[in-house]
Amino acid sequence: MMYNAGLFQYLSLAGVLFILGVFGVLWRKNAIIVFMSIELMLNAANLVFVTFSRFMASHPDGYVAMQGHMFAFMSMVVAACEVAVGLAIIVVIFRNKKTIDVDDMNLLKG
Amino acid sequence: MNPSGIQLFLKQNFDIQTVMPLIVVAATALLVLLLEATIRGKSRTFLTAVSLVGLGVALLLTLFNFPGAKQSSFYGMVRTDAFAQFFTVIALAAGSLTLLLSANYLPKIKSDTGEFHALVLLAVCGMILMAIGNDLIVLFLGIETMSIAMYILCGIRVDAEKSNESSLKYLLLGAFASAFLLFGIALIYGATGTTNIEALINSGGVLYGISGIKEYQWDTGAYQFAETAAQYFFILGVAFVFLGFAFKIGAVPFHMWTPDVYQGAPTSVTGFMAVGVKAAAFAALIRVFLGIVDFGDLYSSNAIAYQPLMDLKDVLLGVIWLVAVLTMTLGNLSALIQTNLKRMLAFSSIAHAGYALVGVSVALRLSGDDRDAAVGAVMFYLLAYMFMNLGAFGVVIMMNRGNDEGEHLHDYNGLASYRPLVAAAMAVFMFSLAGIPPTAGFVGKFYIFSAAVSAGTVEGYGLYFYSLAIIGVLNSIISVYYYLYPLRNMYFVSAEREHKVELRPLMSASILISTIFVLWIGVMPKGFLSRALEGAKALFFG
Amino acid sequence: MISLESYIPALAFLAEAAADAVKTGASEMNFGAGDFFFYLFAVIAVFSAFMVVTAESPISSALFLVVTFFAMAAIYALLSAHFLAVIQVLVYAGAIMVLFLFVIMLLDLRKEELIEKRHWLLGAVGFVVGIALVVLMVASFRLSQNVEVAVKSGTDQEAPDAAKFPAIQESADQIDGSRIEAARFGTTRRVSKHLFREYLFPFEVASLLLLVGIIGVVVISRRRRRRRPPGEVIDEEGAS
Repeated sequence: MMYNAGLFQYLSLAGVLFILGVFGVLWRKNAIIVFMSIELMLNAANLVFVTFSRFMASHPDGYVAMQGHMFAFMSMVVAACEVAVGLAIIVVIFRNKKTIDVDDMNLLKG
Repeated sequence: MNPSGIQLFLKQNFDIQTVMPLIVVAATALLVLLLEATIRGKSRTFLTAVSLVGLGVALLLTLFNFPGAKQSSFYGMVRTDAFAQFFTVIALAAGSLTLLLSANYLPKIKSDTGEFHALVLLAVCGMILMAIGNDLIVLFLGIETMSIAMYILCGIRVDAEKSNESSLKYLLLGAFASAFLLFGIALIYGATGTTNIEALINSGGVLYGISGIKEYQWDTGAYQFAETAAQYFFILGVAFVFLGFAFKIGAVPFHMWTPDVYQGAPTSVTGFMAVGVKAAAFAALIRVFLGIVDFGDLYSSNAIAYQPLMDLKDVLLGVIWLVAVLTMTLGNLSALIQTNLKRMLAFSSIAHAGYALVGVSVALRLSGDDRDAAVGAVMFYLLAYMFMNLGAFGVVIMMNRGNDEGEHLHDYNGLASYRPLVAAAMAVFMFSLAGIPPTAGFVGKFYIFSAAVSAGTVEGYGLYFYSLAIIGVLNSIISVYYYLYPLRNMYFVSAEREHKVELRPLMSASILISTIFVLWIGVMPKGFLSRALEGAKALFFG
Repeated sequence: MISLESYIPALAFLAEAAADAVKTGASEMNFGAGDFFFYLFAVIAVFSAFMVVTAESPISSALFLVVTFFAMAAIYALLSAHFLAVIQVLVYAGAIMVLFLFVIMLLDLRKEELIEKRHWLLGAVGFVVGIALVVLMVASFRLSQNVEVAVKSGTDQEAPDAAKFPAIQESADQIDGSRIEAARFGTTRRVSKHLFREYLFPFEVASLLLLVGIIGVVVISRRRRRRRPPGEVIDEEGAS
């Protein structure tokens, strides 16, 4: 009974993925991997939206459940945009500095 | 209230007029892109003119043809009230001043492309969306539109490593904060069953999310379990959303990014970031968090027994108190030791975000007219801050000679002797930033701290708000030292050599406009304040 | 009804399998196929996400990220979000990952550059904060576990205040009907119905966002033309 995949299980999965993403952002130095970790976090947030949507599917107001889908859809658009711009910036940085290690970004100091 | 009624509050109203300023600005951006392709090789001043005309038309539409009434359109996605109007004006004015400042600066840094103008216009679109957004999805998309445009603007000098670095740092941290924001919104959605702020208030303080499902309504026990779960989702979601916003305004847990990004970005973009992004983020922050606190109040008034959600307001106040105090203090103390004026202004902008947060925390606690006064004070402050800070950055741009030169404090030595007008303008901005009368900065700080003092009279919150006001005033006193330092250099230190400071017409116009407004707001604040109060009153969902 | 799921049998299969488990208020709860698939894909997702974060080279990170995205798509299908599942595969596992891999190949990082020092201090902070967050989240999500148990165990309890919930007057048949409706609610038809009505404005705004992205990539990745008219100040900042 306790092990059926319910709201708790889905949300926990999203939480674990989100925290793995946070950990990756803080721990890693390679800009591309940091970026992938952020994608992981965004995906976890999407999973929360879709999960809540599904569990509100029998809500008296049909619109309530669909809002989560809409939000997940829009956040995919946002993620695509961010990735495109971010990778372009990483390429330019590599062209100029020959490194994408975030710790080498130290020109700007007081 | 009907649990199936969330949709009922959202009017099916496709009134295109309500988003006319947005459409005008976006269309201007497209026009600029088309013109850029056709006038290749010539000066870009023409593009500046086109952009300014577009922004001017949008400004006129906003000032004189704004719906104004408390109405939402596009199924409640957009709410064009006086609050939105006020922040739309700030966004448009910040965009116009930035373009004026950039006109002569861009060729210097070899970034004189039409895309710069288009991106500034699109960033303004994002800011307008944050001002008019009534649904978290519109706010989120607005934040992202603005932020992505700003990431690119920071890195627009593709050959300069500093610019690249600034761009990458801003992007990585910005996307990190966005993920927190999104996760928080997801949890709030799960708890309340809506992402619409108006629907949230109109729900009458009932959590319609996972606890609003039909099956649970048959079963009291199940309903209560789901209800308690929803409360925790809501609290967790609010915390995450606050983290996301704290990044955008550069408040303390996330203040580390600000100086590096500001210093590396082209100076006109830095000015735009310091005022535009901050003002728009505060607009969204105020709308969302006043909505959340109102919801919490409604919820508490419904509850029979103790519920975890009832603590939300006090916890939120505690957190914002801490963040505001740390932001003010750290910003000011770090600014004290800077020798680069651009970096000093970056730290000072952190401190100013702290002052505005004082007003926000007061607004969250109070209600009725007192709240309107506090929100009005924050809005007024952001308006004043826009003119004084963009003016100061304008002078920095004017002193700039192609690279970092001209940004250091010693570059200002004896400026008053050979450029008295520029020095005088800088003096006005510095006095205003320090909060010395008769400038806009003084009036803004006065309203915010007096709101904090009046909030201190609320039973049980005396220590809390009085201490906030006292710390704020102490911080202002500290800040006087570093704001007056450039003035000392300009007026009392003789120049080793005179720098070439060109008085180009567009740039001078921008600085002149800023000076006039700083003094005008400082001497006659009544008209501006009444517009701000009008906006604050419109914010109340009733 | 013509829907996405009729074209993609795998989606229909997963949704079918999940239907029992996800359906709230079902009387008989056994460990069904839906649960099995959930745990399968959850384990795959968490494992590959862990590998994304810890892998030495960006390439293996990227490939594990593809696996995560696919597992997420399967989980969306379990949640009967058919449209989003397909979009997840197309946009994330398709477009975004190709972009990532393309850039990694383009950068051509040499072996020694891949050996990075880790942020051990920040990592430790992240670990502690992460554990705290897990505890916090699990504690609040835990309550939602109780929700289902309670629903399943006691549907015969006294009804709540009818004035508060007018929907309660509806018959059980109607609720069953809505449950069937709920089982296929993430189809393209349902999504598009709302996307082009209530969400018309955000949809248009998204186009603005994409425009910013397009301009941005063009601006950032365009090489500067080396034209320096006489008298222009040369910015040698990059060389410092």
